[in-house]
Amino acid sequence: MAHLAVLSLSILGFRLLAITTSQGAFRYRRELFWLGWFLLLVALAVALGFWSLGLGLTLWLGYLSTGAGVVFLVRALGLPDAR
Amino acid sequence: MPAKVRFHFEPCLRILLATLSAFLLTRWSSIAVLALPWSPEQSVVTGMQLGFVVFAATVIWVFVASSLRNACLGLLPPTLLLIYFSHGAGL
Amino acid sequence: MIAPLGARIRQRMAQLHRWTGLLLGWLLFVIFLTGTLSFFRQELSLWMQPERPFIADPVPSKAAFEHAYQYLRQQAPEASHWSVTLPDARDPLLALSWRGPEGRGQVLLNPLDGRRVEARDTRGGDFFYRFHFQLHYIPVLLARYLVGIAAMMMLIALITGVITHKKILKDFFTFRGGKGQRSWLDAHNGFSVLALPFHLMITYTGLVTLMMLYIPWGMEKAFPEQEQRQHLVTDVFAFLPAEPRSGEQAAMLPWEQLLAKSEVYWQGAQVGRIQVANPGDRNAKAVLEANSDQSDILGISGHPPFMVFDAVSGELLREKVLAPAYDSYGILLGLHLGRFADWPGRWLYVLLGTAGCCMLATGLLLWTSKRRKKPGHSRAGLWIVDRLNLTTLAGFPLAVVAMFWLNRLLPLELPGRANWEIHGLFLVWLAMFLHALLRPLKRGWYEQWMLAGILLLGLPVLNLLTTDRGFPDSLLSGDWLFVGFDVVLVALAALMFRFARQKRES
Repeated sequence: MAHLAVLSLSILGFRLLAITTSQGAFRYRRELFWLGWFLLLVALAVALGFWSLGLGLTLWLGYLSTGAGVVFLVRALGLPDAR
Repeated sequence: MPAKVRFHFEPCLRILLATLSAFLLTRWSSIAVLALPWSPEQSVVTGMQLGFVVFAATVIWVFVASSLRNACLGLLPPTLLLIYFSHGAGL
Repeated sequence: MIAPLGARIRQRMAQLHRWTGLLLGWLLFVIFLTGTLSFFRQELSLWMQPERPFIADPVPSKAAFEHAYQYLRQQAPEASHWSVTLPDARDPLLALSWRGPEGRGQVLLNPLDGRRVEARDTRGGDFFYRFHFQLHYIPVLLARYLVGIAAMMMLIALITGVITHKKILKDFFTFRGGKGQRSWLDAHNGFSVLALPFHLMITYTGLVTLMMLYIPWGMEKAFPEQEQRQHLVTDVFAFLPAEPRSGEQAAMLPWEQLLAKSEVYWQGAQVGRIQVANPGDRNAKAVLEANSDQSDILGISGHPPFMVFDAVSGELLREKVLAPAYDSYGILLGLHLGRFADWPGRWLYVLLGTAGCCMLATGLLLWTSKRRKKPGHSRAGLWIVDRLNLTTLAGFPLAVVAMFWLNRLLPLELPGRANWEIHGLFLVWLAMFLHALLRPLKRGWYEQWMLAGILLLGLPVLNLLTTDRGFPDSLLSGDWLFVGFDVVLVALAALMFRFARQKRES
């Protein structure tokens, strides 16, 4: 299901971005940071592949917000952080 | 206490200027679009869609400007331009 | 992102942001909440009329058309205007309405047998839809201007918020919980920034939906006469202006023929609605409009294609005008209405709308939490803002839930029943206001959240007791709307109890 794919990609991408922009140094930090952005682009590609241009862009932006929101809320609610 | 008076006075003046100028610029821009080389229906509908952007941009400009005088000076060119074009449309 | 701006500018932006936000925050919260509910307008109507039969598979439009035509010909032959909304994926019933010299009427038909469906008198989801742009109890035009001003302020508050918040991406994922004002600030920033594209879009497109009211000057200049202005509307909306009857009877073409023409033209997109002006007269005209939830064929435009026919000869008179400015208008409208969205897409809209409500709520709470720390701040101002926050943020959602209770509890034969549901909502809201004034602040929050939770939790039980579509039955018959409603109610109740517990512990 395209909806689910785009949403998961966006959550994953933002999760990586969140981890790599927080404090603390670890290996492959740069690579993971760019992988995060790359996953968001993959989400766009999936969205455009499944839907028409207008619909794809709209839903992609919507799921980006949701993905970022999920990552944000997980942190806000203090759920276990796999960092 | 000139400093204190200014502190309360300036924001009020800014709000007044922002509201008034945003309203007038939106109004003129919605008429000035009639000067565009399209059918009047298209121009009117374009002008309505852009009007909200004009309004928001004007208000924000008035608050971004470093002083009231600068805010007015910055508003002058678009005002003149829009008045000129609204006259072209037969204001 | 906006680094080059100086500190003083940011300070002024913050000032503008705070005051626009506070002055209209309450109104905007109510608008956002009801607007978010409006994405489920049809679903709410279905839930609020449990007498509607559950039809799993939509009926083909041709059969439904025939029932609609027969009903209108028998019951409203003298009407000057007929309107038929066909069954679709969201609403399986035929909705007919008519108006004419003998008044107006509306009815729901079962598309399977063409029989009338007797459902309780309620405004359903339409109430929330209407309320979110024209409120209630005040003149429509005044209310629309008020909502427009609020929306404009919101747009400005959003932009100034972005300018105020300097390190937008860097601060994105920082949240400092349990630290009073700072955590409200982080939550506010989080809800705003993460859904910023949505907030900007929904606010701007909301203004665009009523742009002919808010920015009429260009239109008045270019088209001084009312009749000239009308065609701006008829170019893009399926709308039949009133015309006089010829007085001569004439047989109308079977609707199937018109249907066939339009569906070929729209690459197979289904017709959603047909309207007929002066039915049975030689001047009869019919407009067929595509259903707007077919984004694979029609895109996201809020102006679905339509065709106006001479209903007697079948001649095509006019159709939707395609032009760049109209198209962008249609897309902006479509983005606001979200009718193109399938059910996951609609949930996405609701989630982002909820983020908007949370942004407004946390912003309002931030205002008081910041000022509570300042020793010199006026106590009276803080007291009243605190009470209004409580009334709006907890009291209004509670009043909405109370309306769902009234929908199940009010006797079916009560005169003006639909209006009493709405009066009930506002009476409960008023009671919550009085409650907020009388109780100590923390107790007030705790009690209103608790009450909201109890009402939400009781609603599935009430539904089980008062209708035959309770949770077990709907689960067995695969009625996902009613199942989903109960699940969401319980989840929301859990959220309310969590809020209440936080208030008690703090």
